Amino acid sequence: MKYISEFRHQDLAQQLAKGIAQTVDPNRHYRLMEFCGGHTHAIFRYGVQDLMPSNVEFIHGPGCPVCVLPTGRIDNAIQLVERQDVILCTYADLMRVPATGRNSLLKAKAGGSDIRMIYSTQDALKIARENPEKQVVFFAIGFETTTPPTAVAIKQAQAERLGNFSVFCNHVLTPAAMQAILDAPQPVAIDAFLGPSHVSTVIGSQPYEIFTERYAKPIVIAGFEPLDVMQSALMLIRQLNEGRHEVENEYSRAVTRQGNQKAQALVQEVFELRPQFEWRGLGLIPDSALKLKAGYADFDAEQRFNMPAIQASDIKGCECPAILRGAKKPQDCKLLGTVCTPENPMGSCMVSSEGACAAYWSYGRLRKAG
Amino acid sequence: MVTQAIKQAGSSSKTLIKTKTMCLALPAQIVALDPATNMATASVDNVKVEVSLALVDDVALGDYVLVHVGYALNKIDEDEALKTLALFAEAGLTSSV
Repeated sequence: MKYISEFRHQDLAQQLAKGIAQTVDPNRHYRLMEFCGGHTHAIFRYGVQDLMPSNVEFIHGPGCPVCVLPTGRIDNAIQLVERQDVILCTYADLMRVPATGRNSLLKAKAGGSDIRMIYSTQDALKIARENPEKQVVFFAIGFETTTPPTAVAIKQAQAERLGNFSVFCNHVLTPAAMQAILDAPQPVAIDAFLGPSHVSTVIGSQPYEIFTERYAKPIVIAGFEPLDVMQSALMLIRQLNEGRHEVENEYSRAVTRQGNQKAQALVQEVFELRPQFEWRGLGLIPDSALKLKAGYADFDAEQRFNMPAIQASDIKGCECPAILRGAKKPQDCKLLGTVCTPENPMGSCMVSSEGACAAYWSYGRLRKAG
Repeated sequence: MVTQAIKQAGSSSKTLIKTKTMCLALPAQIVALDPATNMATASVDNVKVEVSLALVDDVALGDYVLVHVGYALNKIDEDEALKTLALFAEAGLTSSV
């Protein structure tokens, strides 16, 4: 598999591990936050932590879109599908996210609501064309990677005058979340960041430059394969040793400084900033999420169905919020593996395969034992 | 044990391509183009997926693209990939400098 297997090569992994071991200063501790759930997943799945010296610590970040979506937005979607005329289209990750009252979209579907799991926004358009008598709502979530495909679908729906299609928009922005973590009243100690892979293919490396300038934190844009993660960790360790703080790009095979400008232009055309948006774990963050522009308001499900703002609380004892801030690790949660498992998740971090708890439960929990 | 995990995980593209997770994208080779619909067929380890080309320009047969939720996000730069692989190989040799 080109561009996959060579980035998982075991001999090179050993080589990199040796390089990292020789580079670290034994007298200091390196706290590297991997922003993306994709990196968290790679670190656990491939045992990257075990190839690192003991003074290199990965702190798991909030870059898991399902994890940071507040419960109230799932409650909104569940209210919506109670309407007989609505077909809700969603990416599969959202189906098991716990809603208020131990509910979930999966349970709503089992109860008779018409909820379709889709792979692409093109599938949602197809369902809308095939069901003109129904209201087809796409539950749009995700970071900058996933936003352009939603923009394409909205523009296509407008061009086709697909009046029964609308979007429940929950798209959020990476730099705003990074800033919220750094500006937190009691910030988690982080020395450097592994920057997002696929978000950066869209936005480029340029938006991170402000963090190296203002907060003096090194950032390395890192690919999602295990060798990418190791190489990027090495680049961060070198920057820290040398007292540098720059944006470096390890994932240069897919990321440029400018990013995908065609995708950015589409997003600009269709969406605008919300004044603020709630993130699980991080609270209300200004300018951190997108909504449809006035010119596309006809396709905005929140307006079409007059969806209310719902305040909901997380399940008691669930440490998801602290884990998303990097303040706690999955193994610090009392619910993990007892009442909270991927089959019966209590918090969103156990639902998505990008969530830190799911990654820990699937790959990491046997580490110390084995 | 660690390297074993890397070895095993390397062979799972068939499950990966349909893994419906949000930020994951996979490198896939364009094997057919349909300019009329701006769609293409991309292949990962002989698993074929339909992808939209709405977000990219100048994609040709044989190109590798990153596929995310049914869309090609961008092309993969072969020269840059080779440079990165070379960095991996150097890491254990040059780090003490």
